[in-house]
Amino acid sequence: MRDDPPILDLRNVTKTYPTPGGALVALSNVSLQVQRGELVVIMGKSGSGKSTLLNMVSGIDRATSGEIFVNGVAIHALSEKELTAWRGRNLGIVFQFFQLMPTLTLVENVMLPMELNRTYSPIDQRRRAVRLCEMVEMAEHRERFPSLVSGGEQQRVAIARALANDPPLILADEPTGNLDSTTAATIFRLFDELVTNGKSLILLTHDQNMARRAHRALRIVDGRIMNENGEGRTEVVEVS
Amino acid sequence: MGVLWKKILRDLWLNRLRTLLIVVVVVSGTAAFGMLLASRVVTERTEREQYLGTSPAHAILTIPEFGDALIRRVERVAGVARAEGGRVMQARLQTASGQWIPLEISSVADFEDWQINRVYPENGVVATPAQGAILLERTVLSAGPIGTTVIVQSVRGITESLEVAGFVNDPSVVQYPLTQSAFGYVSSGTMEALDRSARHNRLYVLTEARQRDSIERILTAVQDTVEAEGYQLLRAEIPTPGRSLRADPLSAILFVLSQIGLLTLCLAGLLVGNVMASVMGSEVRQIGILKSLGAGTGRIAGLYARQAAIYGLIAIVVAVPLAHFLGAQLSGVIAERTNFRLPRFWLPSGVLTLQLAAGLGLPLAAASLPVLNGSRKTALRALAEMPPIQWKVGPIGQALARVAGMPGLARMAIRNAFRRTGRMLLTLGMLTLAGAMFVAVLGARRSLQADLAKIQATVSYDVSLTMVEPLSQNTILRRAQGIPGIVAVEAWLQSEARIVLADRITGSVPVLGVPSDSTMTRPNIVQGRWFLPDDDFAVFLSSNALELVPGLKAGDVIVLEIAGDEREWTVIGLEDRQLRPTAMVPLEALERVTGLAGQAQMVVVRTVQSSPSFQETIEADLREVFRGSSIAGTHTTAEERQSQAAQLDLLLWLLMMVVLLVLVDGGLGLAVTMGLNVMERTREMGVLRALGAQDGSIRGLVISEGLFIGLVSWMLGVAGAVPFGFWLTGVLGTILYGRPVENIFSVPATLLWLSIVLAIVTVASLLPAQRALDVPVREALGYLG
Repeated sequence: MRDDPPILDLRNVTKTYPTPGGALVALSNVSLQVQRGELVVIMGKSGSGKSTLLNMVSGIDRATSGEIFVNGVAIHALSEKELTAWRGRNLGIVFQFFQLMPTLTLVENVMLPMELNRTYSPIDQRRRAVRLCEMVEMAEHRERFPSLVSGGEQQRVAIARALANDPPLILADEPTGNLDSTTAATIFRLFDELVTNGKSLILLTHDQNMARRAHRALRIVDGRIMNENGEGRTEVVEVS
Repeated sequence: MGVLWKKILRDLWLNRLRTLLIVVVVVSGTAAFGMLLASRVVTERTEREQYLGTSPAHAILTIPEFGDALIRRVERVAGVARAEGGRVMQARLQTASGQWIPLEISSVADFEDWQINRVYPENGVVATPAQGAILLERTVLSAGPIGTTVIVQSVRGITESLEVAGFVNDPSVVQYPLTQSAFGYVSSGTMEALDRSARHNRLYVLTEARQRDSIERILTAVQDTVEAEGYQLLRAEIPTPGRSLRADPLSAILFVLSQIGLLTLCLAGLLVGNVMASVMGSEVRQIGILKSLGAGTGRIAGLYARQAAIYGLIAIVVAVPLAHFLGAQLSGVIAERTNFRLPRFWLPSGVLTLQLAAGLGLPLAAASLPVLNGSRKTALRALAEMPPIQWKVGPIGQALARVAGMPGLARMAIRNAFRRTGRMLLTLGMLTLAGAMFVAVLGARRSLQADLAKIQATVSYDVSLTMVEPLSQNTILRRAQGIPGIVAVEAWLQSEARIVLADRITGSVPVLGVPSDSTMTRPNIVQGRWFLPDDDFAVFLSSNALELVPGLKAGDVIVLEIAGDEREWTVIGLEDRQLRPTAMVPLEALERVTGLAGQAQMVVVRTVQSSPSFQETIEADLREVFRGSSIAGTHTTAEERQSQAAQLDLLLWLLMMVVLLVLVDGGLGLAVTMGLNVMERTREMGVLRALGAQDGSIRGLVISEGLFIGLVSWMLGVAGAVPFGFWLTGVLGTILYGRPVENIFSVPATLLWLSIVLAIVTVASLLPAQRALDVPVREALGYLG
């Protein structure tokens, strides 16, 4: 795993936001590498910069300076249009509030990334979506609308959707933030399986249990990193 | 079917109230547009076809007592295609209810071979009425059904019972009671019984030319021929080639209606834009998800554009047949009220194409800006967990809300109105347009009525009686003065005058010989002066004469032919354009040229009171004292005013109908805005209620916001009504009266509009307010929008 190039390589990434009171530095000169098959947890309070970091990686936001390589692609150099297309095929994103399309059934939600990015034929789209629903144990409810299933079930489907185009890297923003502990454990078990099957995963979470099960945990606190990981190397990511 | 198509269709169904609203708005705009445009095209075309189908005469010449030999002689004149003879007499008809109606009866020499100024049968063919029978123009249905016997009395006093043989439609005449005479058609034999003569007194001429100048040149040769044969041309009526009497006012009405149809379409577009902006606003998070999943701006824009197109497709399915149906109804009413037949109504292909383009294009165009704005949002902005738009209250809203002494909720209501400035401006635009049109149309009505009153005010007598044969003026005055209730009497001489031009014949105008100190007429002088006692061969014309002789002005000398006498007359003055061309000369001058010294055919009287019933009584008394003289007709000014007002009311009725359409759109617009505004502030309402706000306060907040928008729109609408009213009154006046009409701004209309706006606001705000209250507080606080 360590001989392959890292799935994620952040180099001296800085992000500032203009505000009436002056420039707000959300990330300052961050460098970070995530290896293939790693599960990395990023922890921090609201406003610490963890969501900004995730947005940098997903291309949803752009860095003020620095370089970002994801699976070898210099995404900092892509146009907005190229970034959108790249993201659809190379990243899977799981949101805190699930963000399923309310007027599509669960299986159709899983099919959506495939149709948007034209990665599979229509017949294969459905077949693959059903398999993914089975994988997350939602096959039985696949023809229901999101409003008719629980939060945990929606999040499982959201994970299936994130896997639709078989991306190498999954980003999850507080995936268990709105779930009870039992359901959260179920979700994390799914994440475990993904990593076991070769996916790389970056998680934002407040959940200490999840942090302990990660390969690495990074905490961003008022601009400083506290190492919570009991294993692996110590990684410090400094933010202002 | 792809997943995205499923999303589109399900969004449409799951938000069916919104879908229905958008479709209804597009339907109303497209249907109104199609209906009014189709009505214009079909009505104008059909009216022209109907009129031309009668083979209208290029000239109707009044020549006393001539026979077929003259007709044959005239037909040999170069350029004459055909000539026919007939006889016309004035009479009156007693209806089944006993009412007397003025009646102009025309005889037709040969109904089987009737080629000029034909009529259309109401049923079957125009059969030759038997001896003692009459065909009536269809607007005299009050005469009774076919087979009814009616009493007809000629001006000679001859009374005959005639059987109603049928009804016909004569598109060349303005129908009774809009005109003051009904029309009937009889055989030569019946005419001889009524008028004691089988000879013709009308020559109907059809030339080979199409342009007025050419026609007039041919008619000059006809005149020469008539005179060479020893006959006197008393009058020449030369209609505008190819255009009936109703064509110009009809065009005016239809033009204005079609413009309003276009405005209605624009209003609908504004409303749809409003709703689509809200749709895109509510879809922001989904757009963010789609972008995070790899959908580009173009893909997302295409998604919502397809949705807009589907609205259009659904709307077209309803709007096209609806426009056809409504257009047929409207055209039918117009045809019936203006007396021509509408055998069929169709949706012209050009109008259909425009309507399809409008129905599809309207939602697409209206949605284009919101869709582009929405789809261009970055994934970051779209995905923000907090409400994606930080609502700001602009400087105007802040300034307005700082007015001293304003209660807190009122401040909030004003600020709320400005939180979605774009949407508020759209709604304001719609209501302002509706208000401007409403006030302007009512103002135009008042202006046109006032102008009509001005025209009517030039006549200051109450009743007139006209005789076929002249009587001594002294006899006339003596008889009339003996009637109680009459305070002033004048005896006028009347004839027909033609302006003689070097190269062509012109149409005749009625000329009245009036005392130079007449108190029975108060012309609105626009040039020159009224008669002075020394005036001899002086003529006072209505400005309509400028159509015959462009550039004519006071002081000019023209040659008039009156009763065979041709000489120079000095134009001493011009009055405002009248409903028909008129000329007045000093009584003594007309006596001299007609050889009727001391005689008159017309008596005009002013009565002690001018109520319609009193005028009718005097009219009857006059007929009684002049019984035995051949009475051509009597008129009361009340009747004349009534028929003129009826013509105006038709136009204004049609305009108000369209304003109603616009009003509905404006009301819908406000309801949509209030509904969306409230829906977007569900959580905020929950917070207010959690803080202790009562239901009444919440309702008051919502209604106040609506009231604010309504009042601002009222002020802007009233301001907008000023230029719009000027335009509308100018267009209608020019086409109806041939000149601009002074615009009168209607203050009562502004107050009426205010009450309508307040009513709309209340209704449009109450439902959303109640909906906000129906959501439990807990649910409202958890609403993420």
